[in-house]
Amino acid sequence: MAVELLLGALVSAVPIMLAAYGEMVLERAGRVNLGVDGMMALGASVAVIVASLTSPSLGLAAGALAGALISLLYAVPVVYFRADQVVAGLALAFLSWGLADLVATLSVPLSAPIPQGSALHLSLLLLALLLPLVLWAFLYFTWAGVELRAIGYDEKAARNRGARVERTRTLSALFGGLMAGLAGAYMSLVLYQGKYFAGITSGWGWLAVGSVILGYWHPLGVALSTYAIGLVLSLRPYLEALGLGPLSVSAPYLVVILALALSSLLTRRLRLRPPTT
Amino acid sequence: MLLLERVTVVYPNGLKANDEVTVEIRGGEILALLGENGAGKTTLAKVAAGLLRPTAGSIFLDGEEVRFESYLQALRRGIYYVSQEPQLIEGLTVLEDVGLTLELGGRGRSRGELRRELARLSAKVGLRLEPEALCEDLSAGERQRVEALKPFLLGSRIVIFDEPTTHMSPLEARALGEIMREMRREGKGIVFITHKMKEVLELADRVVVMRRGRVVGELERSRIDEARLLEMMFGEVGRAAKSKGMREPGEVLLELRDVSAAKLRRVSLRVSRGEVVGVAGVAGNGQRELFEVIAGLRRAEKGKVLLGGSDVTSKGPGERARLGLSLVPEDRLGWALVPGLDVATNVYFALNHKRFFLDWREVRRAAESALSLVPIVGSPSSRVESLSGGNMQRLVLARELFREPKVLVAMNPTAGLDHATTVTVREMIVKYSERGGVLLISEDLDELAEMADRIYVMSRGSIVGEHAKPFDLEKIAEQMVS
Repeated sequence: MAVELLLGALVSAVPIMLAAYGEMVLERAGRVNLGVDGMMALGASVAVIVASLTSPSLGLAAGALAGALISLLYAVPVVYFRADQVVAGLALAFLSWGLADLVATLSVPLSAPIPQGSALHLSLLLLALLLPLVLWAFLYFTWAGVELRAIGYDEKAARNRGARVERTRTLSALFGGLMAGLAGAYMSLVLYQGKYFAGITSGWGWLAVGSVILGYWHPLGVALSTYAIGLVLSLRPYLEALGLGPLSVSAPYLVVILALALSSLLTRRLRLRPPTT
Repeated sequence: MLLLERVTVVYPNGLKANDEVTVEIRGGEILALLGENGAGKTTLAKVAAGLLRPTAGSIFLDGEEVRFESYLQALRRGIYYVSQEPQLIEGLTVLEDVGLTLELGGRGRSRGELRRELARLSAKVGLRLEPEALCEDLSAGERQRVEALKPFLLGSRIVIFDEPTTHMSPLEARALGEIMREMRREGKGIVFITHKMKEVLELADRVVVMRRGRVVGELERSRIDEARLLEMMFGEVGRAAKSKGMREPGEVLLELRDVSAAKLRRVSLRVSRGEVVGVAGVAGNGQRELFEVIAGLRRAEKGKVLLGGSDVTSKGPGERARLGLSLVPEDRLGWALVPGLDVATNVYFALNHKRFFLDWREVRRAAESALSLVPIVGSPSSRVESLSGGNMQRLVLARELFREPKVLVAMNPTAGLDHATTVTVREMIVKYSERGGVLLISEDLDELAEMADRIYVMSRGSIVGEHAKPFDLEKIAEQMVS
């Protein structure tokens, strides 16, 4: 049962993991996009529609692409026109939710699912597990990664030193959108077996945003924090069986808040420093 | 090598920071750019480094006209600018910070290579460097020297140092001088911006003197002499503040009784009307905490703080200000002045007014009368962050004195200021002490000896000595490091 639980936690944690990796990279570059949940919803809806017309794998790609495209509505105003990032992110969230439902009306939002345990599903699990290592290598062992972190630590100093602030942030926001879109596509095609419905993300995009802080902006930390949240999500049925139904719904969010308070105690010892967003 | 011809820079607020300035930078030479604060030295340097685009004028590199659209372009053409507050990126390690600069400057290399080269170079310039240290753990002097290493690795041909010794100990300053000489041996052109006469006499091969945005004189090595330079800088030879005669101190205005908080250990001191009381000490021995406790920003864990006889230990900064406490903090921008607001609003902001609506005419009037005490260069409607450091300090002092406080507490009030402003600031403080009490916390022992009537010595959070005139400076210095 334990193995089953741990694996099940991974399967349901994947969307939060993917979305959080994307958001983490953007936050390391010094910006926050609060539109993650909306971008996930759009990815979920576009994926189902495209998958119903073509194939599940193309649906997956289309969902990711939709997330990347819509993230430009955040990136361009914020990066180039200095719009307020909180307002832009929230606006993006609301716009994307609406857009997702609209897209879903184009055709019947039902498609062939990506079966759990299929090669495509396994490769997505692998991606969720390996990407943090890749991102870690990128951020800490390439000069482009150092440039990105420098921009996040001190925008003004980095700019004065010649770092390409706009380019880096736009690319990071695009990556964030891509990952959020992919996460949403995973939710509709894998977790909900090829269905899209309004409110499909059930706030998991917000869990992703929270888990970036919880993982202290470190790729491996975010991998752990998102997996922990997945674990709490998979414990829900057990909590309900114990008669803790209402608690089980709010448990993951509660864990995020508690862990946030605790994590700041650890960070100084680990020589980690949050970016300035 | 680099020629700046008839460069004019007009800031958006109308301030003409450079007015048809022509300066030539030659290889294998240390050029000192001398002038008081606000003379336009930094502006000129930023034009040369591509950080500012001039309103008019041309730049020639090896006889060919260039137009730098960005700092990156200048960097890649071999110009390196070391700014006054060296901006290593906090959060990165030294190795990462240096490597990033090289990467952006088109001279990127692997971590391993860079580590080896840093070790070799550190030995050459006599600097112990831990490549894995975090930038934020480095002192200002160390940061400056990390910056000074970069041009060697970049192969820069022109290196501009903007007041590099401001936060350096004399030893560090000497080491930097050696680095500059090494650069000169390699044929680099070095520009050295300063307002310290001694450094010019020691290092410069040629001096260009600026005043109010213009070049007012140029001297070659053989003809450099102090009196002439001073005359060029100030128009007339600057005077030093006269120390005042002895006076009987009046009633006690500020008193600390056995105060302990953070670093502070049972600190007791008193300041009376009519005296300037100094606090001497090596930086980081609790002076900042002392200032914060007096300001009301840090709670005294034990002991009492009395202001004009009333206990203010548990009162906040606003209440203390109303009771007649004025502060001249170390950080001008962001503490004493609010960036983003203009000069007039910054003055008015600090006065205690009770009315709900603002009367802009009154704001302006208040600003003008405050500024009549200490004139500054810049209008009441200019934004404070566009002022030079010296003008900011004049503004802070003008405002605080305009409030007619009972006690003025100043921390390192002349740090980083040029000669003329230093003299003004010291004169104003000493003159004010005829009416109220002054607590002067300063790392500059000469400044304390010149201005203070009494000096407390602080070491590791405790008062370890109290001295009256005439001061035994050797004894004080000894206690400072006890």
